[in-house]
Amino acid sequence: MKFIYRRLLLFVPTLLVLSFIVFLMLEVTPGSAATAILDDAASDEAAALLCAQLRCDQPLVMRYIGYLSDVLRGDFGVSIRSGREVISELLLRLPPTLIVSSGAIILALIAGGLIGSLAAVRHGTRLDIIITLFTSIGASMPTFWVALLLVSLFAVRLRWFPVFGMGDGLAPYVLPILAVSLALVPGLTVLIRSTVLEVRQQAFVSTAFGKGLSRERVYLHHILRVAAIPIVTYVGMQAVHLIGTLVTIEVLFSLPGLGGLAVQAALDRDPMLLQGSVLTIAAITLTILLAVDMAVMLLDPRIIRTAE
Amino acid sequence: MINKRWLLLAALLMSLLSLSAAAAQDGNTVTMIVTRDPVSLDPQTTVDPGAPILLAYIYDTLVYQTPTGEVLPSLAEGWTVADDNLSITFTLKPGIVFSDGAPLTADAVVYTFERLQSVGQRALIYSEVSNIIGFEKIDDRTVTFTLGRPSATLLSALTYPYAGILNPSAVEAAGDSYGQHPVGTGSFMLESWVSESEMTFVPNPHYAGHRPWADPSVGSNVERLRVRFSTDESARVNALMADEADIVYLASGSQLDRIGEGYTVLKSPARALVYVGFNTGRAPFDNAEARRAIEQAINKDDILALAVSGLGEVVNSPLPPTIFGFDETLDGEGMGYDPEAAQQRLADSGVVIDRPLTILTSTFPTFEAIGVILQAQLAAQGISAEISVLDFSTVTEVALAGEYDMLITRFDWNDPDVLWRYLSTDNLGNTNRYFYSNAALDALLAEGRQTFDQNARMAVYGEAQRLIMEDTPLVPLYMPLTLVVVSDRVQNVDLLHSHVVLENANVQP
Repeated sequence: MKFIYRRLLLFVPTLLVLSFIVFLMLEVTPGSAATAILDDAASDEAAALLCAQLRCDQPLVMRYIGYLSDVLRGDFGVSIRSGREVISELLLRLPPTLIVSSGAIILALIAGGLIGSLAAVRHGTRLDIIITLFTSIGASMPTFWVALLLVSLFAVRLRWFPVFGMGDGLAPYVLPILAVSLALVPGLTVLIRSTVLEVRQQAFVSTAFGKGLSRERVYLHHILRVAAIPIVTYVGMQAVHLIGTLVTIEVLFSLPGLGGLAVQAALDRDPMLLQGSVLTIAAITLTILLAVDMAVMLLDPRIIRTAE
Repeated sequence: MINKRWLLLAALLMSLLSLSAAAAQDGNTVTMIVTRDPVSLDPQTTVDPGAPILLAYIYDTLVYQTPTGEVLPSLAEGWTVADDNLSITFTLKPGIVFSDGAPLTADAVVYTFERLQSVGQRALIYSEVSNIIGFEKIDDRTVTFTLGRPSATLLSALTYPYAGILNPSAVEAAGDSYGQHPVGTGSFMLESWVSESEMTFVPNPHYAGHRPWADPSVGSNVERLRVRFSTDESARVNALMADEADIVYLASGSQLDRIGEGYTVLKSPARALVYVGFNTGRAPFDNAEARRAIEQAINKDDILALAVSGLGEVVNSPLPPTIFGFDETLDGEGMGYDPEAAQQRLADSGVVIDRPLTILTSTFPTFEAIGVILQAQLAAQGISAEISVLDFSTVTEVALAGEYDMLITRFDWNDPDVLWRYLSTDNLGNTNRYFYSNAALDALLAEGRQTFDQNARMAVYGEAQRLIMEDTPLVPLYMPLTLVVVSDRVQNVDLLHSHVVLENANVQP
């Protein structure tokens, strides 16, 4: 438990450093919110208003300190473009991102787990070769391309699912989830196949078989439990990288999610919104990494003992 | 048994999920896709550049502008300008009612502009409206605006949807959430709005057929307008192909080849001009003959065909046909493409271009392609040039610092006063990024701003354009088009300044 507290404490400096880097980056990139948002026809009053909002008359450090004290009071500022509170903008954008990413990970785990274990069990057979072939094809297809194929087949041609957007229940999420999970399945399949094969050759598996346990019992209770450790780590890593994939997927399917929000905020030079979305993404990332570590500890109690 | 149960479950799930996909188009609903959620439909505080096309469903303005830039009455029956040009009196049409049932009165007009002056600092027409120093209600249908200085550009400004007339009681009742509960006199009213997902409009039951661009005898059978958002152009076309949308906006021609039978492509010329501006503050383009030589070396037809897929109209005069002041004769007097004459002119001018020129442009769609073709056309003259593509806000800073020779950009405005904004001495160091200063032009542009008489105004801007064409601080390239693709399911759709006019539309259920 001490270990978890220590990790949670590390969140604070990490987010602090990150927020300062974003602040600095906005400062050194040419152009400003004023020139990005104000039209040539904008009045001097509009410029003054924007300036006041951005504390543009203060030096960088003062602005940063001002921002931090606002954040500590729970005030993440206001989006320059929409005029909405950053926090409400983030809350609006969080659900689609969470639905798509968790849906895709769960689907990929089920599919990758089934296919990978099958390949391992039927190791060396024709089925194994076919699976290996398809995973390498799948791994070499870019996600946005897969997404475009899915849309043109299932949405435009067959019309089973809507092309994009929210609302209408869960239907609009199916294709994005499928597209993202298809990006995860090949890697998972290969990993699960090789891990299961590796674990199967270890002594305790032979012992289990020797005790006369059924094949299902050995696979589910002995092999998978050990094999789960690298799989959980891998999925955690993939989940962290997922935000990059989600940027394209969210734009393609017009899902109002976090990835698209961060990119748009950067293009709009919307400082508070950009800060807010980067910090949210960072916090999610740190949480995932922590969750992975905790899961690994649960799976292998030896790690807790070493850590403490 | 187990297998069967799973199959059943899967089938159930599939049908549940796909049920709603087909239900997108029901009855007399028209679905339209625009790029972004406007966040607020308060015309005075919204900052989304895409908001006007939606605001125009809800709000009417006192006056409106025709596709050729003429200002005509809309909510106002007419107006008179005082002899000293310092006040304008508008008379409202009788019997106009807001969508919530309240009648339109002179009080509403006064309230609207007083509110704009207090909360509308970010509205594009703020400067113009803040020139109104007094409002006087003469009677229920008559209101007089007193101006701080004579400003003929006010009328054009009042045609923008930002100047939509508000219902005071609705604004006061909604308070901070007015942007989500707009009320106007337009032909539609907002029914529902799920942020970042979709908004729906329904016909305004009190709409009296007063919009001058629509034919009240035709009417429309549209019962609901559903607006959805997507920044991705291919996704918008996909939705059209999947019958999930009837009307989509296209920013470029890149998806046009996918539009086959069953769709109509509407083209609305924008009140905008794409042009090349010269840095007249440094050699070689501090010399007018060198600028004119470049104009002759530019093949505008090629630029339009190759960089913009022909989605525009070549323009030679500084004002495009959509802005008041455009003169066809003048436009025909452009230099024209003549590479040999260009060579000769440059040689005669004595200007030697001994360094690579810098072509500056922004990441705006098509601008980089225009730069590449311009570069090739200059190379044919033996002039080497480098292209610098930066994002828009950076371009503004670099241009103001004078670190360029030619700037590919565009202006968007609905009044010939746009020439004052970009070429007058008043705006040096601000929006005049060409370091251009011409006393004779300044005088004309100042006069144009104060001339209410349409014929006199036309003459002033004709003269101003002639001066600009002779001195060539900029080379007009083309007037861009806004593209809207409409499914044949919806007939009689029209465009007015990129706003999709549905007052006469007919949809097949």
